[in-house]
Amino acid sequence: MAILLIALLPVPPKFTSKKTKTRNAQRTTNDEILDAVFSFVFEPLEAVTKHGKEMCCSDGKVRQCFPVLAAWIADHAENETLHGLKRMSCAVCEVPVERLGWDAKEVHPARDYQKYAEIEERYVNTGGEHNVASLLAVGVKIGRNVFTGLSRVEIPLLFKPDILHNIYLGLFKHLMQWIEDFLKKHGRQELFDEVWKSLPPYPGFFVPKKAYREVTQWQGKEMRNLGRCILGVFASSLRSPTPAQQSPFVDAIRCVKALVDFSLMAQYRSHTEDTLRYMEQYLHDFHRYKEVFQEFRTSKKTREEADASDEQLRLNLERELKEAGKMPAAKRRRLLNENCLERTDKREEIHRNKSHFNFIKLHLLVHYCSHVRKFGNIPMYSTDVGELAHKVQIKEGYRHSNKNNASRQILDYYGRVHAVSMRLLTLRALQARKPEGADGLFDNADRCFLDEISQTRSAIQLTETEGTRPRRLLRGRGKNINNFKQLSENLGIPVDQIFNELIRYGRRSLENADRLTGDKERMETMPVEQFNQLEIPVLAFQETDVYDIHRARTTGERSFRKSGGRNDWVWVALGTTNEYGALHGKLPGKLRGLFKVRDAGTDGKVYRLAILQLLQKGGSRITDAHGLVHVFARRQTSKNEFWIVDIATVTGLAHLIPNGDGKWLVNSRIDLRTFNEVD
Amino acid sequence: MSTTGTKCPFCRLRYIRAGAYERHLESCHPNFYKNLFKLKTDISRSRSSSVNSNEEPAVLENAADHAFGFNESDYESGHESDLPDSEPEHASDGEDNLVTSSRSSNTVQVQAYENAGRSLRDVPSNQRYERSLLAEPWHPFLTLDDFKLANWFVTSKVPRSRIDEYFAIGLSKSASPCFKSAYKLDQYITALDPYQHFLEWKEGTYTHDGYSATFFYRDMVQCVEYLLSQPAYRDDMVYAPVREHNETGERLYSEMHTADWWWEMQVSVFTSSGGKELQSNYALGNLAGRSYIGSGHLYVRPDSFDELLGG
Repeated sequence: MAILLIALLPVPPKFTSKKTKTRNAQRTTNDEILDAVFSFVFEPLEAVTKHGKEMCCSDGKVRQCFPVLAAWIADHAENETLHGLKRMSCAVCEVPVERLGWDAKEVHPARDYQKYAEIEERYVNTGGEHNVASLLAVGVKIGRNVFTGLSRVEIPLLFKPDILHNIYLGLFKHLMQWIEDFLKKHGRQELFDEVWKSLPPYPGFFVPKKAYREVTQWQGKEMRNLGRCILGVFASSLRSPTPAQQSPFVDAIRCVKALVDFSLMAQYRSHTEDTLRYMEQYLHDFHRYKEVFQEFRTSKKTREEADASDEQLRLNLERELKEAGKMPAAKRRRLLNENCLERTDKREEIHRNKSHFNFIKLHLLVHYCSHVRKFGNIPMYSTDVGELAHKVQIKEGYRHSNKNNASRQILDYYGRVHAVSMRLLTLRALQARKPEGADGLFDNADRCFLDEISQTRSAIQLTETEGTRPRRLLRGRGKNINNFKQLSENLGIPVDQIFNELIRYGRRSLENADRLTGDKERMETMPVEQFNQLEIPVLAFQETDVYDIHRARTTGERSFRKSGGRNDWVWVALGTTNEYGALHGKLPGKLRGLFKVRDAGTDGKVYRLAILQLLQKGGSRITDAHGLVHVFARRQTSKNEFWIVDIATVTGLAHLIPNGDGKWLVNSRIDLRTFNEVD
Repeated sequence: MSTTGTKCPFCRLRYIRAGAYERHLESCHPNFYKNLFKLKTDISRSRSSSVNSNEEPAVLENAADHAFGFNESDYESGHESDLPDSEPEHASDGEDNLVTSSRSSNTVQVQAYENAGRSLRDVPSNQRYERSLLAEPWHPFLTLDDFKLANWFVTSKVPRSRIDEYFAIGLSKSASPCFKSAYKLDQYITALDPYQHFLEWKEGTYTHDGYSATFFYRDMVQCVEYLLSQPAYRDDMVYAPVREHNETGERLYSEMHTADWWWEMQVSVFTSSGGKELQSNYALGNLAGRSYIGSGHLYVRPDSFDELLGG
């Protein structure tokens, strides 16, 4: 709601002529129009920024305010236009094109737009081609851009990192191409697709239904999804390498890991010097290991060149053979082999020498850390918010108009939507704040309406209301389940085993008085209810009163939404926080049943329990580059196959990536909370 | 992975498990291990998991559930149950500690910029919008039902012709709304927003060599005033920069006002205004402009404006 539209810019006329001269002239005109309109729009700001203005604030006070332009959120192409830069130039520093893909440790001078404007002015007044040349050398096309001359504005600081376009739609897209080629080279594509298709569900994670290669279009949401699972899937598809593959596999996994970790940490809402150091370290790691993908960075031109040289060598050989005339078959074969080797070498050499990582999106990552120090967290400035606003404020308005003189209609349309929703927002805020003596000011009907409106928004998140934590909920009671016999038939677990587990559960975690009876005959008569869903409120990352809701389902054999039975992986807190190493006292398990028992013997005490198949934590191998925790299934025959635990110890859904038969990798990159906790 | 494992550089023993290898290093080559460990802690995130993970998965039998303080159950059934519920009152906070301890904001020390964002005086009470709103929440609509109807028309994007039709064929029988046409509805909605005048659209024309272009714009400064005066954003407003430090004294960077730019800007505003004006106070609004290229068609190139303070 706090995004206001400032201006609808004029439509630049289409390029009608094919002549370069007219096109260039028109381009200049368009730039001039842009410049003129911007200076018009910025004009009222100038005086207020300099001297301030008294403004009424919503808390009932008047303050002297100095609005200053602090950020310009746009994608890279747009930034280049507005800053008057050539393609492939950074708006923050004067990095040359051939250094874009280099490590962050190298610092380039910051751009001085004031100086560019002066140089341009000098050229206009006195001429002198060297002035133009000096501007072009640092990638500047227009010296005086739209921001020049705004007081208190530091133009290089207007650039904002953009996680959506830069990382997800930019780097991850590149990365996936490299990964695809890499898998092809090492014959791991089928394995990758197989793992890709068998990912378990997770809140906010869209489970892929198609194999990776079958997906034709990737949108922001899907790329985000990909970022959350790619490390685990990639690591799993590269399991058990041959000795020759070991070293490239390790490097590739390290490289992917560094980029994924960087992208996750960039989304933190709160940073310390420590987390910023990690970000720098991840970026450094990425640069260190990226070489393994260099051969897949070939451009079309390079490939053509390689093909040409290949052809040349082949022709040379043919000529040689012809000239030599008759020769023994063995010698002929030797020559052919040598030539073949030479050709592969040559091709690889060309690929190696001509490929590079010099593209702008890789360079922009360098500025993320310094941006956090200057302006705070990065997601705040993400383009998605603005693009959503664009959709609501402009596109819907246009669709709603009769397309004649649409601008006016667009503005009026959104004006109405804005006015109504602003009023609702205000009333909700007033209601929440409860100003002095406000009871009875809103009558009941008013309050109900406001509550209704605000409720529709929070389907997957809950906020703490008046100090009470949201509670775990059991949902979906099974019909015709009244005692343990029916439960055991439904779950397919022998009754005796359930009883034994119950006794074990009692011994393990209940006080003497609270334990269920060991008498099996009495247990058979106890009333039991079965459920198929457990709602778990999980504290959201870096929040103290906002909860994500995890819905753990267990449908047994019955199919869930027409796609087979669904029995989710969950985390169970079993030990103290220093047990199980990186898992900090929690183990993942497959939820097999949820039920509720009342023990008539102990004052009708109610037990809410979950049956699980717990996994074991495996040791990490030294050669593991991915750093994910291995878990594996317990032996089927062991009496420990099933576990019964209190549902209070189920702390949330787990995301496990299959890694061979009965083995899984714990995907700690699935969300920021797990990323921070499991390590 | 190949099963050969990693060879200890000192005594040719082979290890597959990292834990076992580490244990071996610790017991047989303590000097090397110390250096290695130092290196590791530098790199790995603050807590080093590798030291703890050298045990085989522990026998779960002995692991106490009490460790998390989960004795109190904190759940309930989602619907009526046949069983009588003897719900214990619960306040299980074990889980909270677990999560917040990693990066908690319990003991954040805040250092504020002196004199920044202090108020000059109160806004005259006749300009306070909240008071009248509490008395007449749906003004200018007469009743809640009228507002509900208007809200429904707007949020479900009913075309204007359909709104007129709705009244023409007499669908609204139950109550008699105060508006009976789309035109009238517009007038009411315009009056909904008391700060409407800040958001007025102006039309501009650019003429150059016979080419003229029309564009629409708002006064940026008035937009800032609009956002500042909204009671809805009151609790999210920040008027002055701060510096936050966590319990170990580390600087925290979260929202914009906790980072350096605003602080530095505040300093520059103070110094430029000279000594005598230091008496007065400054709130520094910040704006973020944004612009797009509409996807594919360039019929509009909107340029909206983002008040970050309002969150």
